[in-house]
Amino acid sequence: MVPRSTDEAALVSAAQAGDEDALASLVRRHIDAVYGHALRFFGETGAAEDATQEVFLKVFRSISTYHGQAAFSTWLFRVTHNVCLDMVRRGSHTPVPVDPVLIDAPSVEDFSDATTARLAVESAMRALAPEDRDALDAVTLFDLSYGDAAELLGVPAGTVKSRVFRARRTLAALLSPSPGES
Amino acid sequence: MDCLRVQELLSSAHDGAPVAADEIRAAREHCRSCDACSAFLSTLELVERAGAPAAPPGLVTSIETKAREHARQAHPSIAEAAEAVGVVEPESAEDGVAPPPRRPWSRFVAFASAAVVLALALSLTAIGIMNTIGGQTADDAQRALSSPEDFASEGPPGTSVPPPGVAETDEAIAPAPEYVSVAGWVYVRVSAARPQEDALVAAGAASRTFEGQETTEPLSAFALPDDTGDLYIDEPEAGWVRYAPVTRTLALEPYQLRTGSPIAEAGQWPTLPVRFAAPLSPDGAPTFRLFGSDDRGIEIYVVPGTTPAEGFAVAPGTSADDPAAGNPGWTWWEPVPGS
Repeated sequence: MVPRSTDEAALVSAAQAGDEDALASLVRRHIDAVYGHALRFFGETGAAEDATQEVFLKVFRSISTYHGQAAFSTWLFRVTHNVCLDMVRRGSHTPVPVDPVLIDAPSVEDFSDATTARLAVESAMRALAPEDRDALDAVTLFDLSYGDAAELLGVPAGTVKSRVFRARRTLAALLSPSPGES
Repeated sequence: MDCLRVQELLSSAHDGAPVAADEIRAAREHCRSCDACSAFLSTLELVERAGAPAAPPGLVTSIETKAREHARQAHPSIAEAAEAVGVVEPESAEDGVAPPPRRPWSRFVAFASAAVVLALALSLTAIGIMNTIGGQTADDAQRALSSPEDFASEGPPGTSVPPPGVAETDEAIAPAPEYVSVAGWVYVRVSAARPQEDALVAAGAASRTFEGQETTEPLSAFALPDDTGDLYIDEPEAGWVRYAPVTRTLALEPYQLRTGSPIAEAGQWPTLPVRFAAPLSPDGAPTFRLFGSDDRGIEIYVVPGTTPAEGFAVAPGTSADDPAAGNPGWTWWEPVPGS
């Protein structure tokens, strides 16, 4: 989750003025969200790493033109989403196929271990329809409001809300113990 | 309250959307006696706890390193900047202890201060204040701003040259920044540079001559294969100087300024490509029509029947921090090749 921080604007301003520590901090702060979205989009780590590199190169090149009309994370989600789509258009990578039938349900229900929980969640994410997953990522990884996500995804805010809800229902169905199981 | 409504409320509340307190209380109460809704709530918490997949440490380090390299390249040291404007810093303090390295902020402020002093001095000269100012001559005023040798090698960056098609008015047109064009693409001087010379590749001929240049043979511009788009020109007096592309972004894609007339001398403004007639009205007609706004919120205009992907125009009069600021004419922007 990208934290909504009051010092984000100051960090961006410092980065624009050439403060390399500030630019590196922005990278550290947001890289998991960018990588996470790309990994869920492509389903494989190599493509996710390529996309992450490309996203931040674009950010470095364009940060001087970012004027804070939207939150930095909103801007970053747009860059990330566009980079993923561009990579598909260029044919350099293909998006993860969505076929819930092929998705292995998590084999354990004890998610107290963080690594197990993360693996289970990421496995279940692959069952989501791309539009639902994108909406969920925008809201949960990049911390966008329904309104901001709606503007970026080109749909009404109500549709974003519905997609996020549908995604969560799917995840709940996959991650919850079946009736009768202990 | 039915399960669907309960889960919708839980989802919305989890995302920070406004939900009435009594409704969310009722929803949570419902979860205590409903396995399905309880499982939904647990999933919300599980996904939150799992967070985003962590980027591999090697990738984080690699991108952080690139971030620092980019910051250093985009904001050269004050010594390079001062060298570029002819202001030389002392090597060390009088006590022989080298001054501490400056933070980028202070470098920026110092460079800006030098630029302001230089601009003031040039303005005084350019507007021809040769008479006394409060009992001082213009030369005295300039001396009061800085020592004469600070500007000994610096003439005005260029004279005001109204671009073709732009009517002269009583209002003075400020000279353009130190532009150069290469194959019609416009670049602006950034600073003195020390590029890795053996890595440079030829990028074309510079459009104008430079201080100290004794022949009219155009100098070559070079690029480094690092995808930044910057050019380097080995100027006779200044040595290697870095020029950055003049760009603006639309939907985050960079568009670079083009010029119809090559920038023949310092201070000359880029012009519309010759295939376009100068618009006759502020709305761009009949040459252009309003399309929308770029990422800065500046209105952009396209040729009727085309899209911005083929290039777009910007009207004169943009704000001081815009890449087209000060240009008295319309400007034309095209996608940066290979971006």
